[in-house]
Amino acid sequence: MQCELVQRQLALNEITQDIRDAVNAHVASCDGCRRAALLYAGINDVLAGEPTWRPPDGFASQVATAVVPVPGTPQIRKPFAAVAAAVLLLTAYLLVNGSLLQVLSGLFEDYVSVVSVLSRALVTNAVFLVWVSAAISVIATAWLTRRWLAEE
Amino acid sequence: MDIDEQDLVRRCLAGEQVACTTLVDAYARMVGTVIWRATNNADGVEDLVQETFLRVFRGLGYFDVRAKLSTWIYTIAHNVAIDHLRKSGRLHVAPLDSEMDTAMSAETGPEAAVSREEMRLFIRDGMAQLPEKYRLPLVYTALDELDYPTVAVMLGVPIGTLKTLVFRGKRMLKDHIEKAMRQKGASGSFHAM
Repeated sequence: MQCELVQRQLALNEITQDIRDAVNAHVASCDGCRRAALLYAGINDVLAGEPTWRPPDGFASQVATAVVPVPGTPQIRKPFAAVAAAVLLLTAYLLVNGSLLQVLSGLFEDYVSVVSVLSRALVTNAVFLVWVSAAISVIATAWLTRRWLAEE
Repeated sequence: MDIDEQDLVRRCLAGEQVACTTLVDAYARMVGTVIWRATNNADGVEDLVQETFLRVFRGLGYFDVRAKLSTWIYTIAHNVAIDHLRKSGRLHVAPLDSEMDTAMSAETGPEAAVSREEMRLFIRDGMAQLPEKYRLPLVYTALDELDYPTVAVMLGVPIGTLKTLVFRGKRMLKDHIEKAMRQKGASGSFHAM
């Protein structure tokens, strides 16, 4: 067996039954791996023997009283709600604007004129729409980032 | 841990104080141990455990109940410890000198006799010098309660990568110990522990 492979298994303490004999035979005949086996055993022993933390008496109730769980809806629903609200807002805006222009221009004759009026309404308000979309994007991004940081 | 995690989460979210206490009680010891091992400092562990549970309860409403609660909580504890190390300027990222000596040390083994206590000191000294990238996988996987899949999630790495980090960390530690033993200049053979 290769020294690198043997030492990796020794370090990870992953010597399974099927390779145990081969590893032992290699370690018995290789000074470097024998030394490594002793050192890795020592390292594993010391690391495993480190003490664990013990909470003081009454710690759990003290912490539980201090912090109140925040009931929340599943994270996935909130961005959808925000996007849906934004789309509804935009649609309402377009409808109101388009209808207003339609009333003003008195063009109700046919479908083409309606499309034409709506298109003109979009072009006329393009700058405003871009700003509204940008604002919604910035607010949504800030909100999502804040939530993500709070969770982290 | 033999608790119904989904039920516990649901009861905590409903504001049941007893359930919140049960949750803290169930995980506080391991959270504290993870933080202690990560920060390598017993002072302030209590505050950081509190901070961890503050984040746990804040985020509990967003916890995916299909995931393992303990893993999620230990991941938050790990993040709290890392934040603390960053804030205190103790996040050690520089490589250990002996990382360069790896190939050489296999050829020139120590011929030293060291006691168990000396070995412990060498290991602690070596651990203090290890970059966090290698030290954290070492200290976490040494805990019986944390298996490789859990630690992999905590550190955000695949299991294969985690094993490589653990192996490299232990090899660097081994090289550090051998170097320390050579410097000590003792002769004979070291003892198995």
